[in-house]
Amino acid sequence: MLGIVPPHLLREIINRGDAGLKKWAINTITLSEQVRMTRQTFVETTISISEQKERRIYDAKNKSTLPGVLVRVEGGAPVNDPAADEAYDGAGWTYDLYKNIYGRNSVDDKGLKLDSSVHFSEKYDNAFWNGAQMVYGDGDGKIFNRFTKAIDVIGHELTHGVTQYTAKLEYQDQSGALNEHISDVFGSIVKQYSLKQSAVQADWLIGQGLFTPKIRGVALRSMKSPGTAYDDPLIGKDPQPATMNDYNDAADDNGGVHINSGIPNHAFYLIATDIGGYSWEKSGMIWYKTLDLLEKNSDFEDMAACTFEAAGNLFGNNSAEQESVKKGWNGVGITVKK
Amino acid sequence: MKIYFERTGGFAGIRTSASLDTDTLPPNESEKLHDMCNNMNFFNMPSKYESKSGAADLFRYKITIESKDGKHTVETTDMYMTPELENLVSFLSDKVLKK
Repeated sequence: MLGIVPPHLLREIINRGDAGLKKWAINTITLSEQVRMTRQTFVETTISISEQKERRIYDAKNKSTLPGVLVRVEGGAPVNDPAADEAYDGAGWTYDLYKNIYGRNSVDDKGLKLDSSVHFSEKYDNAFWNGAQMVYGDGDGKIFNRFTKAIDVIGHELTHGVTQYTAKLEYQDQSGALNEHISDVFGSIVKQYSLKQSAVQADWLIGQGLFTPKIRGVALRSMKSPGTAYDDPLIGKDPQPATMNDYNDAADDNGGVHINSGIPNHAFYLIATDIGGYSWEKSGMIWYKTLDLLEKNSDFEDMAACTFEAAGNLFGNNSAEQESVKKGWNGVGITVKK
Repeated sequence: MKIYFERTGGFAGIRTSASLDTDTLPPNESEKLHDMCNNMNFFNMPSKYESKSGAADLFRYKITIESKDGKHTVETTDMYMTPELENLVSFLSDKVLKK
């Protein structure tokens, strides 16, 4: 039958068919398109909604087929696997932050179930959002530990989902760096929220504890001091700029999305510490409301203008908060254009 | 046969790369690489697999192979892999770690 059934029909079967047919269709589509469709079909087939927090943790068993075996559901007892339990707890803190502080019901605001797969692939030095779920690697043990070890990584990945349903920032160049930036902001806020730390008490590090002791570095990124998170013979030096003077015109990494995010990251740090208090309250609220003002191709100047506008909407024009926003962007070399 | 491997992106955004020449590799590894490339029909693979929109922090892999048959580059991400390509990526990633 291979080659006779058109791909759109195969996709229908994958979405609607019984288990046996589904498997056949996936195999067929894989053979004909030479890609492993199971990874993408998951996006289309298992999206489901809930009225309240609903987490599902899967074990990918060191394979790269998603989601893997279901090991823990909402309300279930810990399963004595640090990766699975950290993914569960971190997704819980992230859901609670969005729900309790910003009134958002999950990443889509419609109660999308929070799915996470741990133990993805072998010695996998990464965590990602695939468009529908979070995925975490165990690390290679030489450079990286498991990626669930830092709660801000979990907040970061889930926030990619929030951005996907709100600002839809294109993952390339400055809009891509803003997509990364927003994930770092709310990732750090989730950590601060879980520790009840004020902006001044927070470490503002992203991925603290992910490096093994063999690597000279405290974390992957620093919002307080971009460019200082690591400096090691094996992996090089943290390349993040803190200001527009050091903007990096890299072609790699979708135009340096994980590099230039250092600039807005540092602006957020300056603003949150200037406004003071808990960063999830005023500063976080400004950033959350900004998500609705951005467009998919927004750049750093647009971001500065939108945060200024959001601060005005929330706290009034010429308010102290709005002044802090303006000052923070100035601090990284970006003038707010009104 | 010469192989250039580059991995960019990912949560950390740290670039890693490796260059291999099967003439200077131990015979068993050289043979394994030749077999992998032949089995996956590397030179006839599409040169680019696009990543799905909404996804973020994926690794991007770029593999260039040069042999008597010519030179070909394949770029892909974690979400667009054939099992054969995944084996090759995992072999090359191991090489990077052992450097």
